[in-house]
Order: sequence, then structure tokens, then C-alpha cells
Amino acid sequence: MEQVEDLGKITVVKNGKEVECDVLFTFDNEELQKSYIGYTDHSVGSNGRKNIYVSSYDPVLGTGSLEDITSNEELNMVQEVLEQIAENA
Amino acid sequence: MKIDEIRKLIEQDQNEINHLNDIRMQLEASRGSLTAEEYERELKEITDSLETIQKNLNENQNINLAYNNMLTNIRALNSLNNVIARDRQDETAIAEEKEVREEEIKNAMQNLPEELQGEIRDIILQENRVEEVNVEPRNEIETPVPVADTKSLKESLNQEITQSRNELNHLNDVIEQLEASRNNLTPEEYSNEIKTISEAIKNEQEKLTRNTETNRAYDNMLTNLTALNELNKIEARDEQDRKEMEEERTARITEIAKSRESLSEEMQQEIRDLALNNRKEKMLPTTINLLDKDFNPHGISFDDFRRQYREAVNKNQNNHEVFKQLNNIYNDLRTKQRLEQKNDHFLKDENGKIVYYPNTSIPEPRQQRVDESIEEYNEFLKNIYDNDLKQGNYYKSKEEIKQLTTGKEDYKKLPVHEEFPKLPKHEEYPKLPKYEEPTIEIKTKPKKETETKQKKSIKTLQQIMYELQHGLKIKTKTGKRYQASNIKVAKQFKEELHSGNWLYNVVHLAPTVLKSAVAEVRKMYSKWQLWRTKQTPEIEELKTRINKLSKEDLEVIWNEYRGTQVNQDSFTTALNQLLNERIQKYAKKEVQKINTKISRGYNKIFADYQVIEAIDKELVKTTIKEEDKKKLQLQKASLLKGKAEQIGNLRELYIKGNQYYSGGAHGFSEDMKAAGTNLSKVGKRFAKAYDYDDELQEQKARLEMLEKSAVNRKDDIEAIKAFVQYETLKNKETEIKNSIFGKRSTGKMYYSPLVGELDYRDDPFIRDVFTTVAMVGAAVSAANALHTHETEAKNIIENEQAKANEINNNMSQVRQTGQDIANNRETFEKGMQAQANSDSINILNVGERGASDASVNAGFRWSSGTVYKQADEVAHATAKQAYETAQSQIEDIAAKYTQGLLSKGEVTQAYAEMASQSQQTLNSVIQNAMPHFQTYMQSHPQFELSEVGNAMNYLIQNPNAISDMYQGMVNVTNLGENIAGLTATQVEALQSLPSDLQTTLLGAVSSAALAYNCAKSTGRTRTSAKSEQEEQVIDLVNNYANAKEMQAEATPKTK
Repeated sequence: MEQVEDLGKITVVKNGKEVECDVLFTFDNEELQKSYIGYTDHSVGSNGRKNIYVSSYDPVLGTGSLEDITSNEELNMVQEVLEQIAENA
Repeated sequence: MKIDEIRKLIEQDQNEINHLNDIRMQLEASRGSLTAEEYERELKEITDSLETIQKNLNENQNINLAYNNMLTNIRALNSLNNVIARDRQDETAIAEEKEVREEEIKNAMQNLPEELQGEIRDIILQENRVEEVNVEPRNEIETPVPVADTKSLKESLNQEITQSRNELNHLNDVIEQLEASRNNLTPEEYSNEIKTISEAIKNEQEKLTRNTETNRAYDNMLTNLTALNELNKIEARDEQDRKEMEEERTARITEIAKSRESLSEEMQQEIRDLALNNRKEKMLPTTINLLDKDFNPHGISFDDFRRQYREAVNKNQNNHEVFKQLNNIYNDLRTKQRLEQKNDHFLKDENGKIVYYPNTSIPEPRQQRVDESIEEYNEFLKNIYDNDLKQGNYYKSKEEIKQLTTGKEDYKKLPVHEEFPKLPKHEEYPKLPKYEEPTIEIKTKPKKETETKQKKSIKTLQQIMYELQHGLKIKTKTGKRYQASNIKVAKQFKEELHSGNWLYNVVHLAPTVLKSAVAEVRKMYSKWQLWRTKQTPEIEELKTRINKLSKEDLEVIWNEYRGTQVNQDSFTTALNQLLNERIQKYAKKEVQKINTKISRGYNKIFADYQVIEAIDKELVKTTIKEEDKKKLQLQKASLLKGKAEQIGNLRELYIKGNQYYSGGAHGFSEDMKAAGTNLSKVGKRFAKAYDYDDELQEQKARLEMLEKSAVNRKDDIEAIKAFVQYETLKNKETEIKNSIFGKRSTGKMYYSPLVGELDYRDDPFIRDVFTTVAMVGAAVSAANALHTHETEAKNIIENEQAKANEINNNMSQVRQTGQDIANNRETFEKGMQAQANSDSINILNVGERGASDASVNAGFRWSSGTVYKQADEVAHATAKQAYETAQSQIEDIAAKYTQGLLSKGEVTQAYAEMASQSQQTLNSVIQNAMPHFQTYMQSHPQFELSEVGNAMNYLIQNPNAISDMYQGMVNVTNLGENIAGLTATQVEALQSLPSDLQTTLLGAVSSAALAYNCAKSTGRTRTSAKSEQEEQVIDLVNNYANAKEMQAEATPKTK
């Protein structure tokens, strides 16, 4: 796990508005040949927790087009990565 | 500014920062002597200066970093340009590295001023000049040195074969890469690429086949020629020997002639030379003394022994005594060999050769004969086969014999009873603990001793796990299907996590990205390439070890998993996953064995019982002679003998078999255990629920108790009577019928004499999967058709508005069917919505076709102009390809499922992937069709096309909807039947269409039909493959019950 000073930003459309998000982490999955990105607009959900968005993207095409994460196995993997990051923090 | 100056500045800035920090510390120290205003002012000045210098320092450090980076990468790139690739793989690796280096250089250049870039170029130029001065002129080095070709034709042939295999592997990789990047290519580009690669594969395969054939012929000719040369040097010792030699010679010559047909003249000459040399090399310097008391003929092959014997005989023609002894040895061995080959106690292969246990010379026993009972076979194993072994009708492994022949021991003393290997496993009813009535006590002390002895030789779970994993570097995530790598975390996020101030919601949604400036993300084709080529030697080794596990080890693992010890120990994921696969296979195999035994048992019991009943009828006749009566009584007693025990064993076997399926092996997949869903619990899923039936329950209780107590008392006659009655009752109360949940019993009982028979057969799961996948396929074809013909339809509709409206009305029935399907799927939300939308597209297609059909009937031409023709051809090609791919994939998966090679879970996965592929094609087709379609919608509201437009949009917005549906394992209700109805309607409408349209539309229709047929045929194949036994057994019980009923009806009722 590598710590990077700043992973950059992405601007997305949320509820019809442009929102700038900070990129929190990125990682790859060799088996699926996909990469993943975690980002936040620093919004806070109704339960008082901060929202983190995680999406996948094609490593060849870059982060210009993000995709949903839908399979349970992928979700478990993302969960594990988050736990790993938290443990290292 | 030059780099040296920048580096100097960096140093100065760093010193300045240190200095300012010192001043700040001094300021802090003297804070007490300053006013607040003075302190703040001083501090601000220091902080401002620090910020300015830090900013400069960062900029200069970045420049320095970029400078170093560019220089290093250019040097590396130069070196790479001078490297000559050893092979194709090397060439690819070099190209990839070059690509990465170039990318690095490009990035570095963006951060470097022009002046510094020029400086780097100068340095590199200077270095190149120095290098050129220091090395000898290149042309001298590169002058090719002629090397004499010392390779034999055989070596060249082998090399070509290896090259072909490598090339084929490479081409397969290329195809995979092409498939992966398919979305980035146009259909034409993709099609051209595929064609070129397929051509190359075909050529390479032909070459490989040709060379392999030649190689085989080469080896064959060499072997036979060498043998023939040796044979020609030997003289026959007698008539029999001469005859044998002649036969061998003829056979060798035939083989040589056959091989020569495939070999060139040069190769034949090479073989002749080799055979001559072989003979010289293989000749033993001295003949082994066959008369030596330590010589063991079993230590060498019979052919070798015969060769040495012949040589020795030739040398000793005049020494009558030695000649005679040699002949005696030869004759003894030959007689023994012939006897052994004729011995029917041993297992033989298809060529009549005896089969030995691996790595030994111990012959395996023959298998149980068809007409032989288990008891008789056990008797054979114990008395005859065992005797054969005791008498020494086997040899030890060649290695052991070689060792022993060098010692003093006589070979004839070799077979030692104590060293016999374990007897092979044979089918035997397990000695399971019997049901005990309170009044009967069964003492089994001697048995316990035997059991203890057996247990001693069985490994423990921990020992097995240790042996499996020992020496392998298996990490937590090794073998895990999805694991993350290259994790990068933003510093700020890490700090935030560290502070622990926040809890988080994790959302997995992909928004529309407007702008992306993510660091560390590059378009890295080379990285992707590297992922594909990674190897996992640990996993391969683990797989090999798991595959080698013995039956005993597997039994231990199975039992311990059920005992949850494995969960407590928390073995690695890789081990658990691989064991899971292995244990499933093992369990299936065990159940199959058990079912075979149960089937045999039922056959025997029912057949005997019918004879017993016939005997009983004869015995009550008053006319029967005393002599016949005695004979019949004896026959009856013989038939009844051991029946109670057999029935008891059958019941135990049934329980044991079901435990494999429903025993709750925690840690293994749902397929194997009785989960809360009752998915695999026998009788739960496949039986209809009924109110409690007191009378039936009373009958079951009575018969079961009668049977059990008779079995315990070893009362054969009562046991068999109760068994037959109980089985007949169960059969009568079970009615297997098709229902909305698939095949299940609608009677008051679920009866299957064999284990787990309805677990998979006719499982609605498989049908649903097929159906859903094919619906996607149908939509693909339909959308293709729409794409192709919509512009033409516009003209037709304008001309034939009235008829088109009529056709539209006629299609309402079809639409209704589609609606029914859609209604049935409401529960499955997203996935089903997508499915329904696919249906809408399909229905539209039918309407459009109907309209076209009408126009053709009215005498209008269907197509006009080259645009239509081209579009039509593309659509046909795409539809055909989609259809054929789907068909072959479905057949492949169905076949594997039928053979038990795929578990249910794996089938889901395979279909999910297939559905995903189909949907991708569908999406691209729809996207192509949308622009035409939107124009069309505006001018034709009467076709309610907006619905279809919405459907298309839905599919585009939810690209994974259908494949996601599989994750939830949905139950689709009677979909296959509905589709069959839809298909029939569509096919009818197709009758008068031009043939090209029929092809396109049939693509859509038959995809749906295909699903239904596949599901049906899978059920059928499984029935025939797996349940033939069960059918037979049920028929047996049925026949008996029917015969009894007919007899009862035929018998005149007496009052």
C-alpha cells in the first residue's frame, strides 16, 4: 500500500449538478482486469456518516468513464481494501 | 538555468528553511520578552518566508526529479534499442518496456523547461559518442559467423513441433487479447482480425499434426528397425523359437513399411544410421550370467531377458550343460508368464495385458462379475486372490528387485506375506451399527479391535492439511478469485481515518464523470498485459497435491468438515476453495456408488420376493408331491437367506448417501449442504405440502417398525414382506408431476429409492437460466432486425398504412403473450424489467415483420437500394454470429452440467458471463438503431413505439441488469412454456416471408426456442444419464404393485 500526497480530483454530475470530488484511494484487480477508485464530495448522509463513492474503471481507458460495482465478490473485495486501508492508517 | 544551478538552489533553499526554523524556535524561546504584536509580526515574517522558500524548493525538486527521470529512462531506452530479442516473448517484453519508458520520458518532459531538455539531449549525445569510440566497429561484431548445421533431422522436427506449440499458444493469447479489446474495435476490424488469426491457427495446427505424425513414424521405424537388427543376429534355438522369431520379424517389417510411408528418404537414411549405432551402443559389454544364483529375471523386462538369453545360448552352443540350464530358466519363466496371462484372477486391459498397481508389479484383482454376488466376490478376494499373492504370483517393483538382486538373497524367497500391500477396496456392505431393540444386546468387542486397527492407519485431518500445504507459500489471499493490488491512498484520507473522527457510508454507484484529473492513473496497456501472464505456481502445486489425495484422506476431510473442525482452524482461502471442488467430486462419486449398490439390492430383493410368492402358491396346493414340496421349501429358504441383513444394509446405505448431499458440511458450498433455503434437502423442495394424514402415517409407522424389528431379529421372511409392502406404499403415494416449481411430487409422499435423484434433474433453476439467457439472445437478434429494416418499413407503412394497422391489431395476441411474460417477472425488479424491455423490442420486431409480410403479400417489393442490402447483410452476419455463439455456449455448458463437471454455482456463473456478453452486443446494436428509431417514432405514433424507445433506453442505462439478476438466483415461472407459445405464433407469421427475413427473424425466435429446448433436453439427458437406475427401480416397484392390483381385480370376489 502506497501513500500518495494527492491523488487528484474528479468532477461528477450529482443530482443534476456538477460536484468536485477528492480521490481517496485507487487500486487494481488483476483477475478482473479492472481498476477501482474511491472518492468523496465530503457530503454527509442522514445517518451522520461521510459518503464515500467507489466505482470501477477500465485501466486502459482511464477514469473518464466509471462503472457500478455490482457483484458480491467485487463488493467483498472493496470492503477488504477499505479495512486494509483503515488498519494501516 | 542548468541542472547544477537548480540543484544548488535546492541545497540553498533547504539550508534556508533550516535556518528559518531555528529562528522560529529562538522566537518561541524569547516570546516572553516580546509584546504580542511584535511576536505575531516576527512569526508572520518567518512563516511567509518559509512558505515562499518551500514553494520554490518543491518546484525545483520536481524539476530535479523529472530531470533524473528523463535521463534514466532515455539511457534505458537506448540500451533497449541495442538489445536483440532472443525470442518472440522477449521481443514482446522489450516492446512493452520501451512503451513504458517512452511514457515516462513524455511525462518527465512536461515538467522540464526546454533548456534542461536540451541539456539532457547533449548528455546523451555525448555518451553515445564516447560509447562509439570505445567499442569496436559494429559491422565487425555483427558479421554473421557461419555455423555448421549439426542438427539431425529428428532434432529439427522436434524443434518445429515445439515452435508450432508455442506459436499456437501465442495465437490463443492474441485471440484473448482481441476479445478483451473488442469494444475498441469496429465490427469490421474485429472480423478481419479474427479471420487472420484463425487462418494462422489453422495453418499452424495442420503443420503441427503433420510433424507429429512424422515424429511418431520416425520413432516407430527406429524402434522396429533396431529390434529387427537384433533379431537378425540371433539364431533360433528350436522350431518353436524359430516360429516366434519369424512372427516377430514379420510384424516388425510391416511396422517399418507403414512408417516409411510418412518419412522422407533423408529421414529414413538417418534412422538406418541411428539403428546401426543403437545396436552398437546398446550391446551389453558382457552378457549377464543368467546362471548366477543372484540373477533375477523379474528385475528386467521380458524382452531384455529374452535377448540376453538368446545371446547366451548362441555363445554356449557347444556347452551342453550350460545350454540346458539356460533353456530351463527360459522355459520356466515363459511358462509362468503364459500362465499369468491366462490367469483370470487378475485384471486385464483391453489388449489382454495384466493391470498392475501403480509403480509395482502387483497385479490387480479382476472386477466383480455380472453374475456374482458381493459375498462371492469377497470370497474370491479373500480365498483365491489372496492365495495368488501368497504363492508369489507377483513381483515387487523393478527398483526393489534390482537392489535385492545385488544382495545375497535368492529371488525366489522374495514374496513375503507380511509385506503384502493392502487388499484393494471392494464393494461390501458397510458394517454400520444396527438398530437395537431394548431387549436385544449386541456385543461387538472383537469388531472394536478391528476398528481400532483400521483407524491407526488413517491419517488425521491436521496431518493431511500439513502435507497438502507444507513448503508452499500460501498467503491469506492466495487463490482468492478477486484480490486487490497496487493500492494507493491519499495522505489526507489516511490521516482522516487515523483521527477516527468519521464513520463512513460506502456507496457503489458510478456517476457521470465530467472531468477527471486523477494522479497515478495512466492508460497502461502494458500493465494489463502483465496481469494476463502472471503465474501461480503455488496454486498449481496445491491442486496437484489435492488431486492426489487418497480415498481415506478425502473421507477424513469430509467428516471433519461436517464436524466444523475446519472452520475453527481457519485454513487458507486457497485451500478451502480447492478442497471444496475436490470434495464435491468425491461426494458425487460416492453417491453414485451407493446408488449402484442400492439398485442391485432392490433388484435382488424384488426378484426373489416374486419367486418366493410363486413358491408359496405352489406349496399350498394339495396336489403337490412331497418330494417337490421339499425342493421348493429348500429353494425358498435359500432365497430368503440373509434378506433381513440386506434390507438393513440398504436402509443404512440410503442414509449414508443422503448425508453426502444434505449432511451439512459447513464450509462447503450450498450445493452440498442443507441450507435454510432447503434447496438441496431431499423431499423438502420436491414435495407438495399436505395436511396431516393419520391413516397414512399409521401405515408408515407400522410397516417401518415391522421392517426394523424383523431386520434386528434377522427374521428374513418378515423383513422382506414388510420391505415390499413399505416400498409399495411409498411408491403409490408419490406422484411426480410437472408443476410451477418444476418436477415434484404432488402425492402425499416424496419417494425416491435412490439418493438425491431429484436434486438436479428437472431443476427449475437450469430451465430458468437457459430461458433468460436466450431471451437476451432473442432481443439481440430482434434489435438487429429492427436496425436493418426500419428505414424500409417506413416506406412500406406509408404506402400500406391500412394494412399495416390491420397487422398491428393482429399482433395483439403476441403482444399479450409478451405481456404475460412481463407480468410474471415483476418480482425480479431490475433484471426482469430489462427482460421485459427486451420482450417489447422483440414484439415490435414481430409487428414490423408482420407489416412487411403484408406488403409483400400485396405485391410490393421488400427491399430496394444498396444501403438496405448492405445493412441487411451486416445484420444477418451479426445475428448469425450471436446465435451460433450462444448456441454453442449453451450446448457446452449443458453438456458439462449433465456430465457433472460443473456445479450449479458454476453453471450460474457461466451463464451470467454469457448473458453479460449478449447484453453488450445488444447494447451496441440498440445504440446504433436509436437515431433511426427516434425519427421513426415521431412520425408513427400509432405503433406505440415510445414504449420500445423507453425499453431501449432502459437497457442502455442498466447495462448489467440481466446479468445481475443471476446473483439473486431467481425463480422464473413457467417461462419456457410461454416462450414456446410465442415461438409458435411467430413461426406461423413467418411462413410467407422472403427467405432472408425468415433467417433474421428466426434468429430471434429460435434463440427463445433454443432456451426451452435446451432446458428440456438437459433435463432429459440428465434423466437418461443419471436416473436410469432410478427409473428401473421405480418401474420394478410399479410393476409389482400393478401386478398385484390386476390379480386382485381378476380374482372373483367371494362373500
